[in-house]
Amino acid sequence: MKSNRPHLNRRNQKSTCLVAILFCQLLLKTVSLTAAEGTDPGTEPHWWAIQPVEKPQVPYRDGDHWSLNPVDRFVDRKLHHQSLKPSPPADRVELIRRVYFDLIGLPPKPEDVEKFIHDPNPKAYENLVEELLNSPHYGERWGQHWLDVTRWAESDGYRQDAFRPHAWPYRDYVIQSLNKDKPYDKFVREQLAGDEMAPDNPDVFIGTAYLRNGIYEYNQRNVEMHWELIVDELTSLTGEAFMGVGIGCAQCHDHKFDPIPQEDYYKLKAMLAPVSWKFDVPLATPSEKKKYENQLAEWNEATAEIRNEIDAIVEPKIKAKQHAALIKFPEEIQAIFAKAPSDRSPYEQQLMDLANIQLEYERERFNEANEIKGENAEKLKKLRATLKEYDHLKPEALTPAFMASDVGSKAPKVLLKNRAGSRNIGPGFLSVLEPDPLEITPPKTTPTTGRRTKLAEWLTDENHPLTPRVMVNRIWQKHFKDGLVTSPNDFGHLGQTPSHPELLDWLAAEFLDSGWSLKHMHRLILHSATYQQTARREPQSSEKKIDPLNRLLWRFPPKRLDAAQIRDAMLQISGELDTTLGGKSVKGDQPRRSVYVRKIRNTPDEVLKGFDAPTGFNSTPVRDSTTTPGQALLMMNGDWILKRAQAFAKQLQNSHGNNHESWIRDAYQKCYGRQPSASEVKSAKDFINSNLDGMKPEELLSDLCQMLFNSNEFLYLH
Amino acid sequence: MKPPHFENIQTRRDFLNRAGCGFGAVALAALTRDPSMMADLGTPFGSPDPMRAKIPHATGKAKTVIFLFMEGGPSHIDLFDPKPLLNKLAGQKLPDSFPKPITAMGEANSPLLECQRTWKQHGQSGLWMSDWLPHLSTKADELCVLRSCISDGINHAGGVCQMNTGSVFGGRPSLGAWVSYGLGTSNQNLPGFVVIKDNKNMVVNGVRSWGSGFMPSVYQGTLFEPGDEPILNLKNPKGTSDQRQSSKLNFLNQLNKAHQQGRTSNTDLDARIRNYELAFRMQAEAPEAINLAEEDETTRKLYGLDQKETKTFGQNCLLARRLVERGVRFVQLYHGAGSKWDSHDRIEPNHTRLCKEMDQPVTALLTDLKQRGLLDETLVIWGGEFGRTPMSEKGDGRDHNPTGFTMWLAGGGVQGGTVIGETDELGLHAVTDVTHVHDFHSSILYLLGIDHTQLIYRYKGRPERIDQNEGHVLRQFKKWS
Repeated sequence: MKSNRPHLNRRNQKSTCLVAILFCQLLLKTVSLTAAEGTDPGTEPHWWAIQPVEKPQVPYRDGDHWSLNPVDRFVDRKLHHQSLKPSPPADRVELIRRVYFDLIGLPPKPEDVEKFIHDPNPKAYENLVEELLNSPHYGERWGQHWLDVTRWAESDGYRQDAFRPHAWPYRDYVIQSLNKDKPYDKFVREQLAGDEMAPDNPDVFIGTAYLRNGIYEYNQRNVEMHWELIVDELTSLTGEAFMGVGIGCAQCHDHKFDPIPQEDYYKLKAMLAPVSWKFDVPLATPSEKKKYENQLAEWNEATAEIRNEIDAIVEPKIKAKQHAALIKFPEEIQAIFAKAPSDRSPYEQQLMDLANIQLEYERERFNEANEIKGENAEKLKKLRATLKEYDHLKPEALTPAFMASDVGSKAPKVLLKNRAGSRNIGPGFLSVLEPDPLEITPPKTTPTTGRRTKLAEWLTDENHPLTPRVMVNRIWQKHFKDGLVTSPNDFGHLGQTPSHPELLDWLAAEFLDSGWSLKHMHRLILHSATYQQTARREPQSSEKKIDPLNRLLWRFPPKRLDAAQIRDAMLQISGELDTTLGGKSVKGDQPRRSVYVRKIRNTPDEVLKGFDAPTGFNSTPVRDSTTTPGQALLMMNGDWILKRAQAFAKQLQNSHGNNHESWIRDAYQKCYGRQPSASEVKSAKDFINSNLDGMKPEELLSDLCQMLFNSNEFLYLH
Repeated sequence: MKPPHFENIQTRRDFLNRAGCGFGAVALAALTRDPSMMADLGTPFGSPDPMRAKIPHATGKAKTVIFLFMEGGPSHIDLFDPKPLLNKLAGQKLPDSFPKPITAMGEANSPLLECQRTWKQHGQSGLWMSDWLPHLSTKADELCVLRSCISDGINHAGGVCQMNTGSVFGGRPSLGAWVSYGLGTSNQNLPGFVVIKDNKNMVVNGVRSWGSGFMPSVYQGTLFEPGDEPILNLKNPKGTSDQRQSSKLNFLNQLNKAHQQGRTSNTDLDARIRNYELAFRMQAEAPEAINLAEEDETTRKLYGLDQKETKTFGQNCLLARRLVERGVRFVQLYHGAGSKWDSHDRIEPNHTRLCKEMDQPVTALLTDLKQRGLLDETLVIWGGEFGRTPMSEKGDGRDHNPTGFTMWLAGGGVQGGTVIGETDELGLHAVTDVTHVHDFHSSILYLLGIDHTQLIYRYKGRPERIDQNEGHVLRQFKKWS
């Protein structure tokens, strides 16, 4: 098959999608549609996802005795239509394990299970849901999902892959926002434009870390290319994360499947192009800042003379290093540095800011002991000692805010270059939704363009068809494994159509009616009979034939625990979990929850990576769930797992002395959420009493614990 | 339209249920070599087993790959691409007629550095090689020297990332992952994609240099460490006897079999059970695969295991041969891991040492593969992430040169004794048969019988290819087949 591939500028390449046409043709040859699939977008006159959200009528069916709430009625209709039946409800043991892992990412403790299965209150389940939604661990679990979507990590991602010591506040911001049930529209606005909304409120403007959590290369001298990559990455991400539109396709050409002309990509890019990373904004309120500045002024005054003397020795050396760094850049970049600030265009200023990070890095890594020798070294030593005497006056440094704003109130130009030439593109929205050009007046209160605020307002307008649909689908997806649309970042024609389009719209409308409340959506979904079905039922022949993928939800979908759930569950069960909330990240050997483990892009934590935690280079709305021999080796032989098993065994001995049966009962209860059967107790007893290698039961107990961690019943919710 | 296998068919059972003809279709595709039917062979979910050996799209001689990655960027103009003009202009600035590149260390205006090598033509083909490669020059007639490579990565992170994944940006699968995805592996007891480094330093960008990017991790490379535990966590925990380990596994199997009752439709559970068996077999087979004690004295000598300088890389080259012999699909050896070839200053001692370490072992690998009849089906690739500039740096070094550099190929159906492409008179820019990394990757797949336009992985709704839809197979390669 020959393709008449358009000639593309190599240096401007990205995924072109022409090949997709060919691909689809190939696939068409083997079509075998099943009832589970939605309508065929190819025959639709419209792109379904951009039709206005209208709340559909909740279907009613005579003889539906199963439905508990409107969600179920939509599900029931589809099942009934295919003559399929839902599954019986899960028993309380299955249900509590599911809902704990789902909402807080941890297994229920034996006492939680005990309480729940004997709770006579008819609202026992609803109360449990409420309790978990109010737990601070809810935000830790659901925050992780959002961090996956926004490719958050704590390192630069290139060769040096430097740790970002101030990236954690964004992680905590996300967690806290979810715990507070911050309306999603506000959450979106804060991340896109918190700096313009509330320049004095660190709890808000830290959301703009979203704009700079991408990767950065510490020694890239091609500054223009570097900046272009950064802005392009942000543009594609923003299309995917908030709108579920693979707009990256349109970077090089009109989207081949969706009505997105190339210009739309550049319009969105123009919205984000003024972005500028800020290095001088502390994560502090105005009063904290003032207090700090006052105190600093006192220290400054007291130490001015000493510091002048130090500077006289050190500064020329640093300046020389910075100059050496500067001349590694192309001449055009050096010329920008030489210009007066007022002569620099906004774009030039952005390039300079980016290049300047390398100059600042020279200051940061300047090593006095190595660089200053002889007489000066002696003198400097004394000066440093004297300066230290004033430390009591010096205020504690404020945490720098890892945030972003604009380069100024004037935006840089965004050029669309193609065979037709080069055109300047102004900010705008998807033309299929909003064809008119935009007039954006810079705000008076901040030195910014106002473009991102405008973008955020447009995205969170309650008439926006994509934003609410995309988010309720993400919520559904994380509860059920698959979304109603199984391509959560692509609601276009290259993505999937919804299995239940009306349910999706009904949920989106509910989301808007509730004031964009995530917790409202959780309640709706969790209270449904659909969610409370058992997963422990085998498919019948009709189900295998009509809906083998269970998209109509004739049972609750079985799933493997994800990396964080596995790691956190082992820590809780072994009794080691440190449930401290928030704060700086820790190394993976610390018993904190996985969301607090340092996320270094090029050297991910072994256990988390082993179970498919994303590395943070791309938006990852769906985590892989792989089965690899590496996982088996890790779980059988890995040091970290062995230590958890040993701690678990020790804890069992501490609680139950030498009572073998109690060890076993407690171990099963903790790992599986249920009591072992008599035959399970017996074979476990046989195992620890096998006297293998002359080992005593208490020594073999740790092996038993480890095998429980390795077992499918622990690793799967099924 | 929405074709059916746009959906993630997640289990073998689903696949068989839905495809109807199941394995039959695979066989038919193989028989008819119908490319439209072959296109789904490399899908993780559409195939019964993601790492099962798959049939390529077309006949390609190469079945396995050994990629010798000279990390840091070896100097093409001191090894394979002689430039007499360079020595004539040495000490002067780059003439204005040459477009000025952006270089990593900003050396565009530095004086040109002479090449101190003696150059000779070798073999029947008369291939040019410098005196830094006394051994390899005896293999001139096996090599296809590609002198016109270009990359977008001006520094190591971008260059290594692009040479491995096609993109200067992280997040995409590496070449080895694409090959594993496309062809699977023929030995299930060993990883299909193995990476070996020559020293303790990490390769630039760390593990993602052999990562699977947006593909499932089953396709990622496995780093073999020297010693008796080549694979991470391969050995029993300290103090655990084989007997105890197998008693644990028996107990685990018991737990899993009991759990599987009434859940057989969930084939993930079965897959995990079998994975423990596989891991156990790996524990047995991997140490054997890397046991060089089985090699005779002649072979050991051939690879230079008897000399200090060549011992380490010699061992790695020998390991590579043992692995491809055992059906490992893709082996990547890093030489100079941690950018050791990066010679911003003192290029003479740097390259003298590194060439010495690499020259004999690489030559031995070609000899050994050939005498075992493996060279025809093993594609050997040599090169770094970029070359080096004709301009000097710090007086006696060279800066990065991604705008024109050399890679070479041997075996795997490649016509030896050939030169493809050329750089300008100073070796700065590629000027004819310019071969971008995308073209290079596409051409490698071609030699493996894979049509790079049809090896597609669907990610976030988009059909992704290794070459980001930009690559062309070198016309010379097409001529050979």
